Amino acid sequence: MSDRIRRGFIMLLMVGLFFLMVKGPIEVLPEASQLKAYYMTHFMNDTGALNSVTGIYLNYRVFDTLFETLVLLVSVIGIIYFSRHEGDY
Amino acid sequence: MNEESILLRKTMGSLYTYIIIFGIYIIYNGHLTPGGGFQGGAILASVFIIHYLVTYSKTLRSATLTNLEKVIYVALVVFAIVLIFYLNPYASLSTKRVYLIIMNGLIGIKVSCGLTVVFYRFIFFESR
Amino acid sequence: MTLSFGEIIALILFCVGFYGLLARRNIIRTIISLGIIQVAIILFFLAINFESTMIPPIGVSDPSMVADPLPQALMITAIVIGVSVTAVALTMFISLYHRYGSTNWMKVKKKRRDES
Repeated sequence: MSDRIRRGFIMLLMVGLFFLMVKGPIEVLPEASQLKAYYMTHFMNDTGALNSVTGIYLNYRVFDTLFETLVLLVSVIGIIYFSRHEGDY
Repeated sequence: MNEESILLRKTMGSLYTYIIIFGIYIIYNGHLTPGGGFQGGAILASVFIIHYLVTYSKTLRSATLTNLEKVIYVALVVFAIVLIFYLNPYASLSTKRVYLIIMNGLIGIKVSCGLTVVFYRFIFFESR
Repeated sequence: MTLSFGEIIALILFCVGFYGLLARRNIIRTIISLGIIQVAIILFFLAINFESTMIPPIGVSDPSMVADPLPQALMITAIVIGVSVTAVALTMFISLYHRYGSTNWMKVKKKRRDES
């Protein structure tokens, strides 16, 4: 019974958190649309791509892609390491 | 569950070629149309999953795929650093286009190797 | 400044996932909650600064009419990271289940304390 009370309390907490996040003071920074305008006007001459998403993740922000693929590689090694079965073939 | 289904084998076996061609198309046109290395790599990984569902074979060596993934990651880092940090102001647009195609291909092969190793580890080892 | 529809859905999903993390003591449900939170974050990033009349960011066009390409490029990588996080968590859960024989956090904790 106390478990149900605990869950109800946490549910009330989550509803409060939701309304806090919705009603909170949110401001739009003008730099965001400036960045979008810069990307959309310059990416064809800078990267040579027609798809601006590819231009961003392979030229402007190539570190993001590199370390993300490193995360995938580390997770594959971690799956082999954390397994309870010995051996790897 | 461990016996082969002839219906699945006949239908899925004829789909291999089209799935591989579709994945290569997604990777190769990643800089022109929606797509790229990650999406095409996921499509190429589905070929291995269908191969398991069709034949129930357990002959795939995941160590080979892991080593291939490590080698491709080193190639990716070297290629990206050399072209982005040293040759980017001097390179022409066609050079950058070739760079985008090669990077998309390397990322596609790497992601497909990683997802295949994850799937086969879960099938062969963790399900026992 | 009011939130758009996609952002409100993303916040609801985030609260649902956070409730699952806090209130449930099953390890599988914890992993599923992590997945729900990750989907919520992806949806939130894609819904930022978006209106329903925008077109995909391909080719030359007016910058005010195009969807923002930066969150899309970030979320492509986040999807693959989510897959790898789920895979590692499930592997750790399987070896933990075969060692302690329970899917409850509290029972696993109690058995670990008894062992040491």
